[in-house]
Amino acid sequence: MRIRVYSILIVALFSGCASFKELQPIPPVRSTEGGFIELQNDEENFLLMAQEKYFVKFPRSSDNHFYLVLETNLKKRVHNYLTATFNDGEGPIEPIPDETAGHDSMSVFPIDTSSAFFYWVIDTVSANVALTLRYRYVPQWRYTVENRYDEYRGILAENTLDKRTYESIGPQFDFAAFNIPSEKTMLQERNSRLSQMNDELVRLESVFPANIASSRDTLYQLYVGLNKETRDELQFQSDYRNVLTVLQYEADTRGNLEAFMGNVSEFVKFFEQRNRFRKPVVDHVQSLCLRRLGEALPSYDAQIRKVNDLSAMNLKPSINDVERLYIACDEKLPQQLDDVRQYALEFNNSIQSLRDARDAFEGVNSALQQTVLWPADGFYPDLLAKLDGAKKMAPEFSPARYPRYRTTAASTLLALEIQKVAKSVDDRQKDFRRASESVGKINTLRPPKEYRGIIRILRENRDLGFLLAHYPDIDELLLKLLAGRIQERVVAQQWRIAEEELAELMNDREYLNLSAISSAKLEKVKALEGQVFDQVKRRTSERVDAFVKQHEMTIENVASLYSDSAFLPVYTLTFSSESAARLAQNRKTIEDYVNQAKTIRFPENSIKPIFRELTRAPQERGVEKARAILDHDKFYKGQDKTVRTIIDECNPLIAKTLNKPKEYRRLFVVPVNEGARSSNDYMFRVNVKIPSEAKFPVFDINVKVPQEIASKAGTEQWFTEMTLNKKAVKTEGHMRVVAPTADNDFVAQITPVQMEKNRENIIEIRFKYPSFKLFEVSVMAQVPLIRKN
Amino acid sequence: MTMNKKYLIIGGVALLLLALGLWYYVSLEGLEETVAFPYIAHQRPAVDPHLPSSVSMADKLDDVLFDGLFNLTATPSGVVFEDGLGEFVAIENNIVTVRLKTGRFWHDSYQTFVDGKDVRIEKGSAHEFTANDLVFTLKRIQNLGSLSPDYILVAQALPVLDFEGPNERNEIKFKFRPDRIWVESDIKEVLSFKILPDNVDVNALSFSVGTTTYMTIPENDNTLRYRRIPDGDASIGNVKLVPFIDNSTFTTELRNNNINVLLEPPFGSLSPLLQEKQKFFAKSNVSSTFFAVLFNTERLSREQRVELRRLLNNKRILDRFFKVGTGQQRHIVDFKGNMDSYDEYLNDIIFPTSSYYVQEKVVERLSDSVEANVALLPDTVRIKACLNFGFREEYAELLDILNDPTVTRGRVRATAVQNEDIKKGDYDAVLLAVSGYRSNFLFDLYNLFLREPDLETYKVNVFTTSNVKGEALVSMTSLQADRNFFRLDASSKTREADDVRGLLEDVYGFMSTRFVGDKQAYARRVAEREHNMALGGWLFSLPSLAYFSSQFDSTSIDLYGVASQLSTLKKWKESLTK
Repeated sequence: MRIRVYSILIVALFSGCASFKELQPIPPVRSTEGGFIELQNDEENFLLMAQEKYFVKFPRSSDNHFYLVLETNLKKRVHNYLTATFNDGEGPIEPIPDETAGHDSMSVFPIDTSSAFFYWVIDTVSANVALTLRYRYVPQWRYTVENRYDEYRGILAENTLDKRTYESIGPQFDFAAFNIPSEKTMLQERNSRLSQMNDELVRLESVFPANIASSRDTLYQLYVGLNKETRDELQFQSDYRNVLTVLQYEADTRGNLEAFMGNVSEFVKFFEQRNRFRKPVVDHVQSLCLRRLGEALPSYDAQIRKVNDLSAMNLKPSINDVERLYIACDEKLPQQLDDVRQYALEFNNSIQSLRDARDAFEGVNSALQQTVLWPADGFYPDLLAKLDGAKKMAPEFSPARYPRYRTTAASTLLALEIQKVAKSVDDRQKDFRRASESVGKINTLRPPKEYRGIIRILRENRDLGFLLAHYPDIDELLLKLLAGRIQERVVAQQWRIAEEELAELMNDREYLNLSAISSAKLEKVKALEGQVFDQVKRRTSERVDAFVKQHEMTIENVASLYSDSAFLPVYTLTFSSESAARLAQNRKTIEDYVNQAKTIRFPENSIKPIFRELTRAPQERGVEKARAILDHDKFYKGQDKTVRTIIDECNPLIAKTLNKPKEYRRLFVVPVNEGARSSNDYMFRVNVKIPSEAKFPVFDINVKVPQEIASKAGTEQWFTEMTLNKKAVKTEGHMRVVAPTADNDFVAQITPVQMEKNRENIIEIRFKYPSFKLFEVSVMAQVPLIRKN
Repeated sequence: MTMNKKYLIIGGVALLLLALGLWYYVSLEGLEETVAFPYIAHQRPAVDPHLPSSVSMADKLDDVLFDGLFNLTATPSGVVFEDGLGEFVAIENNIVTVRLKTGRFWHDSYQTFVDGKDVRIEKGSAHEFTANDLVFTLKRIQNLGSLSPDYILVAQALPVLDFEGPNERNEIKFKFRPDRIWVESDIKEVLSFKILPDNVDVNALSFSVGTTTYMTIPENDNTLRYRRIPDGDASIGNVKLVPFIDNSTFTTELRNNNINVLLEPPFGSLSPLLQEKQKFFAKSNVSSTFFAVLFNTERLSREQRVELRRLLNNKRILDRFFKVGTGQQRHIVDFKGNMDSYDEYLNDIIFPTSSYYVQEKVVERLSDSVEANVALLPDTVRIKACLNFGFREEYAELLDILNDPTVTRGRVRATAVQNEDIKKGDYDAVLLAVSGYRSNFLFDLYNLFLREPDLETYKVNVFTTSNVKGEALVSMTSLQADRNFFRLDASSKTREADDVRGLLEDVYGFMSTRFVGDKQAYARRVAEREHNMALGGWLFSLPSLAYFSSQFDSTSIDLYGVASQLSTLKKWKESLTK
């Protein structure tokens, strides 16, 4: 023995590279069904060393549904498990559950034939210990029956019912002392436990070997007996539970026929399986049902008398269910209950017919309300035919056939409603006939657009609203017709006639719905009025614009141009739908346009190009150009800065502003006398408005004089008058007027000229010259110098 | 007459002529190559080229010693501007380019060595003119403000008294105001202010280092001396100012050849000396001196001042002054050549008749021909004058005239007093000779209203402040009673207070403005307000006449204006007939 232990240790030592050691028993493990076999190593127990790991290989069972039962002293001392696959601890390991996990020394592992070996693995050994192990291969059914037969017998005995109560149920049974719910609870509890055991027995059948039924195995015979007894008891409990159930239903619904009838199927089913039960039990249940069915007629009477509208009668419980239970109880439905059924049926059918007739009538109305515009001649005859159909749909309800219910509210209400529908149809038929006649006439007047005639017909039938509804646009059509005529006047520029017809249109009241069309009519009048206004304005503007364009470069007789009729409106408006003020405003708008053209655009459009021409060629009719600009100015009321500047440039009376020092400013000088003379008077004015820090500004004024004017300045005064703010300027005191000569480039200097700060400082120079022409003069002002010497 | 006697007579005359010629030659010997002016010994001219002086000679010396960028010089056809320390290059878009001259040295570049009367000049360390001197000068002018006529002239052209540069060509650029077309002559006139070296004391009372052809050399026995620099281009090598006690002997000194130019002869009249046409000649000019009686407003009410002004009949005084219509009449000639046009020298208002403002009728002459109501006057109006600071002859004559009952109806007692009395204001009125006035735009009103009443020291009291806009305003402290001849006080509470303050503001407005129109307007205001306040009797101006020894070639001497009388000094030449 000692030698063997040492040999294992040596083997383990030399195989130190493997982490698990296999215990190989002698004799080897036998996998046949049988009792426990001790696992030994040649008649000795294996010795397990601390910190070492071991496994034992068990071959598979001979058949499926086997247990490998292990009994060992080390179950709780070393960590062990059984697995179908094992590779020296490598890879995933799935232990097979131990069905006796709570047992201290025994383990039961289900095994089968799917693996060649099962491995019992010990992976934790805390101290050196000797292994004591017994093993057994056993079929699972056998192991179960061996271990639980007594237990099953006990369960069956505990849950088998006492049959005496059931056997006593009959006409003499004292139900008053019988607590059905308690009995049912008890029954339920026993049945539950017994059913659970029965389920286990059924499951055990699935692991029986195929040929067990023919075997003489004692343990199997015990199992068969137990199984039969269990099934019989369960069948009894089922029957008994059914009896208790119907009795419970009846008892629970007393005083509530509808609730009782709610379980009619259970009762019918009970009676259909009457053979399962004792006859006294069946008779008792039948008598209970017939007694309850007697409550039906009073219940139905009450429900019918309670109806006070024309909704469908829905009686509860269903008479059909009542009849079904009667039949299940081997009885026929009583006649009175059958009358109830017939009355309810006829009533419901009548209200359905009435509903259909009313729907047909309403369908006609609906068709009418679908706003059929301008209906054809056959429109109303069709509707009349539909009304006839509706009339025929009305029911013929005869409550006299049911004396029991002849005077009920439901019967009376139904009869009245039938009459009412009939009358509505009659009345509508009369209206439709009138409408049909009117439609024919209207359809005759429509093609020639005799809208006023149509409106008259409609107004005569104003009570037929549906008829009027066919022609919602009749007023619009008339308005459109009249407006179209006026528009033709406008296009033809027949302003006066157009305005007269506009006035008529505005005052016209012959419309089907005057209040409805008034707004549109007024809008139309305004629109047409606007068109008249726009057209007059446009024609006027076109005429005046063309005139302005044609004459913008005219420089002769400019003043007479402003008297041309082009500056008048093409027509003077006389009508306004709104007010006299509006009329005046419209007139003013046109007049304003004309006036604007006359006083703004024409002058502006003329002045600018004429001035460009003047600037381009001042010597070519320069005076005429300048005077044309001034003639325009007489009518010009605009504020265009450029235009004003041009006018000022050409107007000798306007002083030309000098607002920068030392810069020469060119200005045109034209004669101030009207026509050409042998000696013409010229004048120009300069307004010196140069900003200065001085409190009393003084400037030197330099005037570059045309050579032809200055040519004699050395011998005679070139100007006739020179003033500053209307005071004569002459060489006097500190004032010097230097003559323009060739030596000073014909610049006349006036120095120093005292200015009034922040005021106008007008220098006016007049001179004469034989020719009637335009001169260009340049003027400059600069600050004089205080000199030392 | 025997032949011997005849020869004796001829020989005697010849000897006499020889003696006279010898005397003349000898007498001229000391002024050879010299221009000699007289000056009042205790009125040494303090030369400041940027400020006016009460001593007219001081202003004239500006041209002798200092150059501007451009120099005004007189020619027979009028004035021209010649290049001074600058050379005009161009003007474009109001940017004036001036090239600063190189090789122009300040007088302190030379050393002087004195050996008795002899003075030797040698070149020392060079001190060349640079743009820094111009910067210094412009800053000084800026700081002087309205006290300096140059400030007014420059400010009307330059918004900022500064320039850019110089560049590598030594060119500088001035940004001129854009309010006029600047022509070359105007630019040069604006830039004709005299330039000082930047190493002088900016607050010095007198300056002597310039860049002209004449430099100051040490004085000798109070004779102020100027010598042509070694490479100078002046014809005459020496200029000197010879001291005398007063002007009573000036004519004699001229005759005695102690001086050879007399710019302000007594009475400004033609002296019999000028009859000697071979020895002397004269040139007339616009007046630069006038006499006035300034009233003490502390002693005389406005009504009394009006009557006193009426009492001082300047026509009557002038006629007496020049002894018009008598055998001793002092004849005069004006610069136009008109003889004895005395009335042209009568002054009616504060602006002399010769001034631009009257000549150009900017202000109206306001004569008051009403006979004086002497009852309103004090029993005796005490008019005082100090004779010690020039014009002694004229003062003495005028005091006599004023004391003459036929002139002042016995209500005036005019006396000569010391300067201390004047300073104390111990007078009802003071007789004053205002010399060196300019008849052009730059008439000096500070000289009248804000001058310290001290004839020994010329000082003007102008104090300024500013308003919230930063604009300069005259301070009322400028006019205090003990600091002006009229004894006006701007802080007084008298009924004339508003007029006094208004007058001060108008005077400042006149002096500080750079605008012609403002100048004219303020001139009218001052004239009108002064006339209403009756602050003085504006008697008359002295004819301006200059006597020259015929040592000089008269054709080489061109006089124009007043302050520029010596601008052509370097062109003066001695006569070939000497």
